[in-house]
Amino acid sequence: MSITDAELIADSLTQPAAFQEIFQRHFDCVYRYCARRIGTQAGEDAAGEVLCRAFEHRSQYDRARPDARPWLLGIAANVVAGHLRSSGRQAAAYQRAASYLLAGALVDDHAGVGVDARQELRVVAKALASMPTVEVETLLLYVWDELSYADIAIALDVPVGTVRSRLSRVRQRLRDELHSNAPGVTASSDKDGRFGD
Amino acid sequence: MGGSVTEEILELVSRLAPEVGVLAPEQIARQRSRLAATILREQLSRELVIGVAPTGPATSGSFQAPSFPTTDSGGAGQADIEVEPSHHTPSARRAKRHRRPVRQIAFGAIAGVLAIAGIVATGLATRTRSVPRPVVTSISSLGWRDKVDGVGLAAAHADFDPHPQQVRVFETKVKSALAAMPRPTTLVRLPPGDPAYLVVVSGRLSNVGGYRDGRWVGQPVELVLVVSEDDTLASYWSGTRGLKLAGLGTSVELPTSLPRVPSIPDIFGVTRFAFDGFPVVSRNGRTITVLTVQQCGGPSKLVATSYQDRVALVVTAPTGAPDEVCPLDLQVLTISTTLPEPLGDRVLVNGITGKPVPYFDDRWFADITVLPQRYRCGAGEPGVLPSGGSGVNATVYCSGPAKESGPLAIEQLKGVGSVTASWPIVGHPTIDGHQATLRVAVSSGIAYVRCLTWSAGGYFFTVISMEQMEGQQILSSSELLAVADGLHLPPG
Repeated sequence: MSITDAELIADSLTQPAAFQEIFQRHFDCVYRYCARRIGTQAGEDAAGEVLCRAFEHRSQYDRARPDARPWLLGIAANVVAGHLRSSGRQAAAYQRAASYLLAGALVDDHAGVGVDARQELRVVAKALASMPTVEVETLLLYVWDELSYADIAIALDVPVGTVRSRLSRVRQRLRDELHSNAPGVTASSDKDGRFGD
Repeated sequence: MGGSVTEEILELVSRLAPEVGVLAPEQIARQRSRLAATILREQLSRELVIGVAPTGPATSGSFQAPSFPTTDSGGAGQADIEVEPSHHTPSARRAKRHRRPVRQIAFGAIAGVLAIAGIVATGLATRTRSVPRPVVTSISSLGWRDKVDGVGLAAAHADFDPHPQQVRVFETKVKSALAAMPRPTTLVRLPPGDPAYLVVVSGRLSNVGGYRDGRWVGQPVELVLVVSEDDTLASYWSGTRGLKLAGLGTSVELPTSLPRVPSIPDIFGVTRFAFDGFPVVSRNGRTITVLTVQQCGGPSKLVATSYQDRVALVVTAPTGAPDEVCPLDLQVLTISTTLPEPLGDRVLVNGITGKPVPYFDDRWFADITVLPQRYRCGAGEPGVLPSGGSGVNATVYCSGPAKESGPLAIEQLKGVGSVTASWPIVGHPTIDGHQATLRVAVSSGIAYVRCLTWSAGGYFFTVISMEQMEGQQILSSSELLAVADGLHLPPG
């Protein structure tokens, strides 16, 4: 059985070089998180900053959690937020996705996406851009970064119940937006419960 | 749209994820180095070396107290502070048994602390007002411990200590003094106008020296360790007290005269060391080859870091396990690396010292127009033949059928050469108007080495045929002369 992240981080307290393995395991994931939110160029630097911050604060890591990814993405969220603040682009984080879409860049890059689907994407992007940042971030951690509710809770340092309620709200808003603006979407239930409350 | 709304929403949101692709290896390496620099900085911040003293012969059983130079920080009223050396080293145990030496160490350490405090007060504090001056209330509270394994540091002080393996290093944590050091993300240009950025990792103050004629001879120095953004690591002793600590400003002043550089600490499981001999740059300017001695930890790698005006070379090898039994047979290896762009006019520098390195350009090598039948030659490699003299050299190895014929080597040294081997001289033939020397070594009536040397065109040539395995034939004198006559220097 391979050594867990928690064990590596514990080792790194006395053998700092052990933390290099954390980089090896998670840099790609952290980079993707950052790059999707602030672009590839800034994302690279931000991802490096995340790993450095993680190293500097590794003594605070909860060793009961074997997987460090949620913790790292939590740090990444702070780094990204700091980047947006410092670059004067506060509140632009999730509008970026919308602007991508509205400019047609994203949709046009997706071969096979029909007119209806494009309309739906526009609706979703616009809706996300108008929602509270924390709710959107919760959703994106779930969808883009494929974290579980529990892991999102760790990353955002909130109770799992908060994650559930945020996702519920954002789901309802998106459902409403789609219902109002994308005629093709008429259903109103979450039959498989995957995205449930 | 079919399926549940939730799944559709998830799918839509998923589609909004911008494509980010995969980072290039050099981008990942840059960020990895950044973390490595952070790690290194923390490790260095744990250590502040304040004194180095030889342990002396094992029979002495005691240490002499390092008598640090007096500084303007004063030192009265601290004599009751005691050092509590760790008890897990032989030297520490000796110190525990002999109380008086411990006291002596204490006084020395106190003096060292005060010396450092003085340095901090006059050095760091003048640069950054927020730096707190270390307040020493108790040596042990600062975690002072003695560290016998000071070989790495001692290597830098060989001028003082002829037995660098017998050193005693005191170290402690003084993070407060290092607060002024920039974060690893601080980038400085080196030198101004140079696009190569170095990351200033940390600095530390040392009081280095040793015993000379029974008296401590030492001086505080300021050390700055800089790590490049990639795999090449360079360190610089910036000089003695009072000199500007390099790397903390907006520009870096490289020391004009570098004292001996300490061995690079093993931080990342990779040992970095300088290569041996002179590099050879291939004819297309992109491949660089050096010699190195086989390391215990694993295969060595030549790492070249390209900058606008220079290329830095360093050899890396995995660090061997501490308890590894390593049969050092000193096998010499040839290792190469390929540059993304030809070296061109750029300077080749030693990645450890930062100093320029002379190299042999393979384009200088003479064309080999005559070879014995079935012989083939490789490209130029760093020279290892027993020719002395001064200058850069390269060797081309030619081989025929291995079972029948010994290898032929042609070495070309740019400069003044000589032969150090004691093979008997058997004649002085003329090669292209230049007098040559022919040496032949014979054993049991069989010639096993035939060597021809001469100087021409600013080069010293050695053409040598030798038996490598029993039963191999070496070239005759006439064959050797034919090869030599067939060497034509390129124009210019």
